[in-house]
Amino acid sequence: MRNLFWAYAAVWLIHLGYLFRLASGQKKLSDDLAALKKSVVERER
Amino acid sequence: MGKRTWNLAGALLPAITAALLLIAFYVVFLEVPTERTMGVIQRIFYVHVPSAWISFFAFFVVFVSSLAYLATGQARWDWAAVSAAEIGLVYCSIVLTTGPLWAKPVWGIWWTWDARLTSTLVLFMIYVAYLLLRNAVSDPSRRANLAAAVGIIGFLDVPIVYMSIRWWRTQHPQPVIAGGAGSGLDPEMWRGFLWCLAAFLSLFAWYFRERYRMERMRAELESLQREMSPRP
Repeated sequence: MRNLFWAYAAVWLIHLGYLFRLASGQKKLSDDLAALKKSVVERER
Repeated sequence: MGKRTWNLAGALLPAITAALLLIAFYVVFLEVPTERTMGVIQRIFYVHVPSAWISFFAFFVVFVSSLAYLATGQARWDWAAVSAAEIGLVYCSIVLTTGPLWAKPVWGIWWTWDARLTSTLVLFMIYVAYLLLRNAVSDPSRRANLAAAVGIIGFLDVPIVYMSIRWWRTQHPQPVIAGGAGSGLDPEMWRGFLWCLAAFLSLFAWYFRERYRMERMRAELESLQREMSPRP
């Protein structure tokens, strides 16, 4: 019973961890992209 | 895929996945009968086997996308390959975690070096190496070509993992599904299994969409950085 609990807990933790990785990765890339585009516009001015 | 379908998938997939997961876990814990010899621990089967199948499917996507990249040279195939490889590893890590948690009370040991377990661990390490290789090469075209080669050759382990319990005598149970005479599942257990498979497949589709989007952003960022960097 204890191992069943840990197996399902592990499934949830792995999926939640990956969702967090996707969310934080997208946010970082989106911030970096916005900053870079801003500096391109400033350089062109 | 059209932009409209892509956006619609982004809006619908999280809700569909959440609904399917709720149904799947309801069926697995409240409707499916308890297996006679193993007891409740057998319910690990409903996350272990669908995760294994989806990891095989993900590595198949890597294989096909890698071939398509080498044939066309289009970056989108490389983005699809890396997205599927990473998600395949997520599912493969679930297989490698839930397997020993099932094995300890049933076999009395967490792990044994039989053909199925060893080939699955090798599969996991192949795709870890695939991602490490990508991180080690900075030139996008060279990175995509090398990764495609690993993605194609690495897939050779998938049929070995699948057939290992048919080819060799293993500690791992013989196939319950597609295992020939004497194998099979109770219809109620089939229901639990299929709901879990559908939920995990939907989760795969959602992850894939989001990971692909991330890769597209990374490619745009790298291209802008190259434009900005001073030329020698």
